[in-house]
Amino acid sequence: MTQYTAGSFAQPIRRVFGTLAFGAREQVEMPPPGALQPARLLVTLNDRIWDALYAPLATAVGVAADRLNHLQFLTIRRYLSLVFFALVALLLVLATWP
Amino acid sequence: MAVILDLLVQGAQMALVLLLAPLLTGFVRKVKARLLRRRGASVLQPYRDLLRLLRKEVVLAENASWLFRATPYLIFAATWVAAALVPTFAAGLMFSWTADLIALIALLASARFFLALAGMDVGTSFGGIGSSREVMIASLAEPAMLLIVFTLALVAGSTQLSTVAAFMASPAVGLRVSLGLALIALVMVAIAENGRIPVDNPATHLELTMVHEAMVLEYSGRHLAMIEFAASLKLLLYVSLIACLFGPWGMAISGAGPAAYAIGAAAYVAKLAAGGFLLALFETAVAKMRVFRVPEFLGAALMLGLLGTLLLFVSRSL
Repeated sequence: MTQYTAGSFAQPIRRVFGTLAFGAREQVEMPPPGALQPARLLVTLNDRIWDALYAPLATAVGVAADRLNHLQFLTIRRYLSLVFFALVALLLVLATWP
Repeated sequence: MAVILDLLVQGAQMALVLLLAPLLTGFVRKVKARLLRRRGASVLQPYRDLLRLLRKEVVLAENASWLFRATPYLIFAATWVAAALVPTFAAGLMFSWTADLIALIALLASARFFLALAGMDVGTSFGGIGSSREVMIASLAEPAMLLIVFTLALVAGSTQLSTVAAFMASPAVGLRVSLGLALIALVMVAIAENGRIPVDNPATHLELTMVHEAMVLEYSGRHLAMIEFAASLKLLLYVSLIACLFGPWGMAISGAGPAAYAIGAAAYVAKLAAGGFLLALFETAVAKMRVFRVPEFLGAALMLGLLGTLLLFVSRSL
């Protein structure tokens, strides 16, 4: 027996809002009668919220991580001065905090 | 004494909607039959159907849960409460102040939620089809309904039905484009919510495009009677809502005395008859549309509601 699943329950809503929320496009290739090649049904979905909201965020994090990667390959002199200047900067921030 | 009298009038209103609901359904069916040059069943047939169903035995599926058995009563109660809150023959009755238009929509939405759950409870695919389509229609109809409520609330300054009705009856309302748009949108939403012809066909059990009837296919006996009664009540509710919001003529004010109530009741019955006749006329004139055309129909209602709201933001006198 076939069960009614969550996917089938959401199917009409997905179909109605598909073009708007997912930019769904359907491509049907129906061979003429008598032809031997199979029929093709191609559905492409674009997740617009992912593309607009999360993808730029993920790209920004990736770029920042690539840049900051240099920090892991410094000499000991540079590390010590980095720590020192970071401390000075933080204390300055604290001193001038209103 | 005054409280008891108020309670009595409110009780009369609750009894009135209960008594008139099957009559309205029967009247609409009769007019439809006459328009198709059939003789049609008597207008009292829905009462007989309800009595017959109430006497019949309930056939339950083996795997039906408590939800399936409780849902008909829940739906009936929620719809009855909602119908009793709409001013019919008199505005400003006792319970009318407990809930506004938004609460009314929420009551109907909870009834629909339980009906959709019950449609899937037994696990047949047919009930599931009905449930998913009902939810799809609801997800489009309810935003449209809320926009209509916004339009009315912006014009009348309240979502309270009695206040809106009093404002609409006063000369202050004038002639407004936004109210015209809201009326058309409300009629479209009412047709979709009640599953009338362009959206769904209430008379068929055989078509694969049916929505409401597919959900209640597993019900029988007194459960089915409750659901049918709730459907009649919902139709009456929407006709009374349109009559109360856009044609509150002849409506009595609470505490006006028996003569005013009688005039109000007569006007209400006349409004119901006019609404039922127009509905039957419209249903005979149009053809049922495909399920996936419904979003366009309800999208038009949404756009009209939105346009009404925007017009009111541009100018309060539109």
